[in-house]
Amino acid sequence: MSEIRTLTVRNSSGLHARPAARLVEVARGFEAELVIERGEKQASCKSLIAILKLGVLEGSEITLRADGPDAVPALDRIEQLFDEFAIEQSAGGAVA
Amino acid sequence: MMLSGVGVSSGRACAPLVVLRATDAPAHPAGPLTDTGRDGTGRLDEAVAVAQLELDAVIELARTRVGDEHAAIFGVQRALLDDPEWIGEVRSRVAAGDDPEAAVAHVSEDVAEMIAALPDEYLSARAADIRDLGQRVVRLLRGAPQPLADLAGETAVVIAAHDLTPTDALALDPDVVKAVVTEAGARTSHTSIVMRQLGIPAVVSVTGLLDQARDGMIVAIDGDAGTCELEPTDAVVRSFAPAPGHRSRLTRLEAAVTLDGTVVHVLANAASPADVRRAVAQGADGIGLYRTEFLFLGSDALPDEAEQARVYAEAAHAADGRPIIFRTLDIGGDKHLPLLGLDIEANPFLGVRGVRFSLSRTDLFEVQLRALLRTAEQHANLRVMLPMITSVEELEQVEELVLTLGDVSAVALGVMIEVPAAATMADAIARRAAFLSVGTNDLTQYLLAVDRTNDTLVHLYNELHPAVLRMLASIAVDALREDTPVGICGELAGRAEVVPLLVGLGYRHLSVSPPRVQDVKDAVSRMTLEDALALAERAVACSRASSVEELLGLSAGIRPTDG
Repeated sequence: MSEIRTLTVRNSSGLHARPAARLVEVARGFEAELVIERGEKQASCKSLIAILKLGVLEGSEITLRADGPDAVPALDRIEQLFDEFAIEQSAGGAVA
Repeated sequence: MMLSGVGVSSGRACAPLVVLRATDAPAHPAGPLTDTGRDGTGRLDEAVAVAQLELDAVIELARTRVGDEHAAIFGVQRALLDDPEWIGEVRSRVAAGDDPEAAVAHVSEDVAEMIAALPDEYLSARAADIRDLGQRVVRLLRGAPQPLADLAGETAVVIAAHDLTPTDALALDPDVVKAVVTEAGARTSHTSIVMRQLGIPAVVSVTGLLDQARDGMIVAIDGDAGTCELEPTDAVVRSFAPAPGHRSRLTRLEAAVTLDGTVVHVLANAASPADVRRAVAQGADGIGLYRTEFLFLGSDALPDEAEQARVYAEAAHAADGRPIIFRTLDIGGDKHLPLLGLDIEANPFLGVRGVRFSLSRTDLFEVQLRALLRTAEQHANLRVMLPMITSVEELEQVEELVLTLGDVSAVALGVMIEVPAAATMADAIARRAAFLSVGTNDLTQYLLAVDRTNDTLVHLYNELHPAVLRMLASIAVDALREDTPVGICGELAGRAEVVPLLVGLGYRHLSVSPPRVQDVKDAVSRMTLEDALALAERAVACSRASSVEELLGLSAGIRPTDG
């Protein structure tokens, strides 16, 4: 089963190391193959290095693709995670 | 000889140098940890497994030394360890016959260089994390001892090195290591963040350092100016010596008092009971802003009354008798809570935020208020603060709601002043509220009509805009006239150089992030109220932000950050 969603990154430092590390941790909990796309580049959500190389900054529009039995819950959880990044930052947690 | 670099952790220190030179780490006397008789893949697996255990221990240590949020720095390395782009590449090289040491070193360097070339400074600084990880695994493969110098018996040293890894930095004892200076490094590196959290002054990016530095040489480090002076004159050494009675960097647990005897309460912002414990350990006089949103994160269901009361009681208990101000759920705006399925609004900052949300969902709000009331029965230090209040009526609505749940007088109900309307009506609100606390971040963005999350408007967002200062002045005057305590809980309060101005404007309660507590207390203890009043008067008379900055001795555009 596959699923595609698009969202905009809202925390000001984008997908830098710590949020990216959490994304990887979450993604690795799912069986589905999870790919994040920005422009023409793409990266596996299960590789921190690949995500860092993607260079996702604030305001970046990204597409998430999931392929596997748990594709839908995986993307639900990842979308929620991006919301959490935005909340934590605005709540003043030093996310940098 | 004066060398200059980039100051990344503030403070000054003068002490003998200990120079760490990158050498090929010698083999451990007890021999390599891994069995050399085994094939490369077997040794690699063993070293990676041990590295995993080590990193778990490092993360645990970081939690207690620099706090949960900064411990996540080391989670980055933990995630890299089983990254297919790293371990996958290392494995295929080893399978092709490379030595595991060489494979780890090469792949780590390749990946680090790729990351270092990224255009964003924050991302490129992550190359250091990859190198730290690579060094760790190579060390384990070789069985080499921990590379950092043996400082046993030393009482005060400055460490000089080409670079320190975040793990090295975490292991530094601030009682012995008075400062750190390195040739490499960047403000945004995780090493710099750890230094700031530990309160060790640090200067990085000092070119030519290791050519000049010798063990035992006296050196004067100024983490604010970003300078490193080798073999300074006696006069300089004396100027670096702590002044008599000066106790900076020792945790100041007592109240901060100005030189002419005015007490200023320096509180901390927190989001969890662990934050509260840390803030108290760092000398905070209480918690000026406890963000309850975090309780609503990370769980699949909204926490019920018992669960909320349990966490609030733990936090209130950790405050150990000091006042603790719980801000009721502050979501909406740029803070979403997926669990609640909120509508996406066209202008979220002007939408259903803070108390507006709470009053629209009294089912949730009542649960939170009941949990807070229940906690207040056991903890007299508990206060409650309402975010995004725009009118007296909203405060009255909450009071009425509290009345239906219990005794409204049992809990001190205060108001966060962050909407210009509330600031303008501060006198009327102060008559009803137990206290006011100004949220300068949102007040600034609403007053200046600048979205503070919009990068293209960064230059327009300035908390020192005279309009903000005049509003702060009028809120303080209104509150004090009504005999209502008034404080500040925005980032502005944590800027040591701005503290005299805020005290001069009438603020006696400043709530800042925990690592800023000591700096702010130090700033208070160096100033007089008399000077502060004169400063405030001049600042309020300024017609431009640049004049205010000049008055405060700030060069425009420079803002302290605490990671």
